[in-house]
Amino acid sequence: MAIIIIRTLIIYFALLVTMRLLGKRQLGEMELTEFILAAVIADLAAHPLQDIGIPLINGLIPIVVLFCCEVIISGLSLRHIRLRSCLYGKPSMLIVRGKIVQRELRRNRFTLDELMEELRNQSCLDISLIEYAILETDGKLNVILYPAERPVTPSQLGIDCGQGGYPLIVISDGKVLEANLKHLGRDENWLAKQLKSRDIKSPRDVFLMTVNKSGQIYFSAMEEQP
Amino acid sequence: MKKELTAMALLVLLCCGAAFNIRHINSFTGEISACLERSEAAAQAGDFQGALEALDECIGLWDGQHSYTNVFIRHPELDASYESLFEIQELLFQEDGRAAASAYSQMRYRLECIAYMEKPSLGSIF
Repeated sequence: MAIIIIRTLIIYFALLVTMRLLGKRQLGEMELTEFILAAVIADLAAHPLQDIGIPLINGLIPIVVLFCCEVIISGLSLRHIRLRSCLYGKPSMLIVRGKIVQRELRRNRFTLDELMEELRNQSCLDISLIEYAILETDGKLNVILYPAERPVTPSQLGIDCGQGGYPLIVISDGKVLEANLKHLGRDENWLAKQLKSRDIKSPRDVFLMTVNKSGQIYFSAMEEQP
Repeated sequence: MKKELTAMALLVLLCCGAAFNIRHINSFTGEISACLERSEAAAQAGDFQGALEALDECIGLWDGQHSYTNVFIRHPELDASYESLFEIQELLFQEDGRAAASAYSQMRYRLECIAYMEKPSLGSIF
C-alpha cells in the first residue's frame, strides 16, 4: 500500500515536470494538472478491471492520491501567484499589433503552419487585422482583432435591444419546474394561460418551455410518439 | 481551504493506513516464518508428525489472514504461497527431509518478499 502511494506521487510529479517542460501545445485546452489527471486516472482504474489478480485497492488508492494531489495543488495555486506561474506558465503573445513574434513562436515550438491553422479555425485570414494573438496556458490560441475590425455591436449602432435576460426552463420534458417558475415571479395560473393560448391542454404535452425576465418565451411542443 | 485540508487529511490517513499495513504484514509473516522454522527443525530431527502439526499451524495462520491478504496483496503471490505450503506438506507426508528443506527455504523467501514488497525502499519503489 505504501509503495502504491509513493509510486503514484512520483509518477504524478514526474508527469507534472515533464508536461510543464514540454510546453502549452500538448495540453489542448486543459490546464496542466487536469491533463495529467485525465491521462493517468483512466489507465489506473482499468488495471484491476482487466486483471482480477490485482487487488481492487491497487486501482483505488492511486485514484484517491491523484485526487488529493490535484485538490491540494489547485488550491495552493489559487492562493499563490508564483506557484501558479511556475506550474501553469504564462500566456505568450504570438502576434502583437499585426506582427508575428518569432521568438515566442520558437519558444513555444509553435510552427507557422500551426499558427495559420489556428487563425483559420477562428476565421482570421489577414494577420495585419489582428491586434493580439495569445497562446494561453491551456494551449488555446485567442485572437483579438483591432477595434476597427471587430464585429459591430447594437450599442455602437445606437440600437436598443432591451434587457434580455437569462431564460429559465419552466417545463422540461413534460414536467413543470416550480422553483424556476417561482424565481420568475410567475405561478401555475400564468402557466395555464400560456399553454391555453398555444392550444396545449397540459404541461405533459410540452417538451421545452423557457422564459426570461423580460417575458420572452421559447416553446417546443412534445412530438407525437410513433 | 476546507477542500484542501480534507485532501491533506485524506493523504495523511492513507499514509497511516500504509504504515499499519506494513506493520501488520511484517507481524504475520514473521509469525508464519517462526512457525515454519519450528516445523523445519522437527523435520530435520526426523519428527515428521511434529513437523506436519507445526505446518498445519502455519497454514492456519496464513488462512486466518485470507481476507486481509486478498485485499492488499496481489493474488498470484498468495496462490504461489499456498502452493509452497502444500508442497512442503506433501514432502513431509513422503518423509523426504532433504527436499522439504528446499521447500521450506522457498516458502520463507516468499514471505520475506511479501513483507519486503510492502516496505518503502529504493528497491521496492523502483
